[in-house]
Amino acid sequence: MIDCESLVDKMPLVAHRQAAWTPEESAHLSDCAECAASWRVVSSAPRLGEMTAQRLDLPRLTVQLHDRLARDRRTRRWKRTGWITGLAAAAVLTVMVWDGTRHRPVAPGTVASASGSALEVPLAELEGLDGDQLQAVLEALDAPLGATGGGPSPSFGDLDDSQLERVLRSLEG
Amino acid sequence: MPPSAPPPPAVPTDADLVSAYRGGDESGASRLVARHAASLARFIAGTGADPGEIDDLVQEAFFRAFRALESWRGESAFRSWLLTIGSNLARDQYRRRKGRTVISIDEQDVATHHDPAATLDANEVERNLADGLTRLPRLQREVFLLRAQQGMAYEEIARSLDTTPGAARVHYHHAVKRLKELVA
Repeated sequence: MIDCESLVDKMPLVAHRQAAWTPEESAHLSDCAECAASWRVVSSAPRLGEMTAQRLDLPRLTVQLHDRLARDRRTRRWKRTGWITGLAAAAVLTVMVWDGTRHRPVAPGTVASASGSALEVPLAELEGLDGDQLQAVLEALDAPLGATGGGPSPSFGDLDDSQLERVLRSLEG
Repeated sequence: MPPSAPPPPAVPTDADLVSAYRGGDESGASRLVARHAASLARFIAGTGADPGEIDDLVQEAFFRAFRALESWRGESAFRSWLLTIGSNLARDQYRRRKGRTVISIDEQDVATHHDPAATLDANEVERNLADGLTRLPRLQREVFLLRAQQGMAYEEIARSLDTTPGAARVHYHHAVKRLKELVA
């Protein structure tokens, strides 16, 4: 007894010459209208689009494909190289900055900032000052600007004759 | 005793050609194209792709396949992997055309046969079949094509279309039943 469903399952194999009908199956195909109709459909399928496939320009397709693949490989290589170069440059820069701030030698006549961090400010003029003088400078820096000009403004009346004469000469050129 | 003929050179498998291409041998790709381009074109044509775009779709499918060869571990046959890519491309094209399926019923698209009477009959069946395929749901159409046109096993179809062999079998039977009605 032939099962129609199994026969329909086998049809693609026969259509692709991977199997053959047994005499019993052949007899069933002749007698069963449903199976015969299924066989007409399935056996036509391998020929579908045959002419479309024959119209394919295979040499052109192969050449274009190789060109595209080569271009794609180049593009990917460039992108990869760009990334690596960028990362390497960033790494080198980071190391240089970090290393430079850590190991810069302290030049004679430089004074470390009050924060105590690695940042150093060279102030050669302060080298010759003793402790009290430095303290005075710091106090002057800390004082508000207005506090430095607290005294009365000098006027020409406070100058003696010789000083007044020097000023007038300087104004006349 | 006549000298025995040298054995014919072994035909490299798809996996051999893939390995050769991965190793830098460009001819591996060319041989894979020569081997599978026709069946890929027939499959794409069967899905209802625009006939004018089939060459481009075939090229695109191969391009994507070779580009992604690094990720192909050979768990499925190269051909079914290629057909999966072709199916995805055809689906994308179908979406771009907003569901307008084009099936060429040009005389040129129908295979020729030597017997004129048989040719007429076969041409009509094939034309009706191509037309009928456009009326099937996508999965039924693709399962039918992979099974009946490409001769793939249900297990391979299931892997290609991300379904189960049982479901693939059901889709195939439904497709045959529906096409019988449309072709008759």
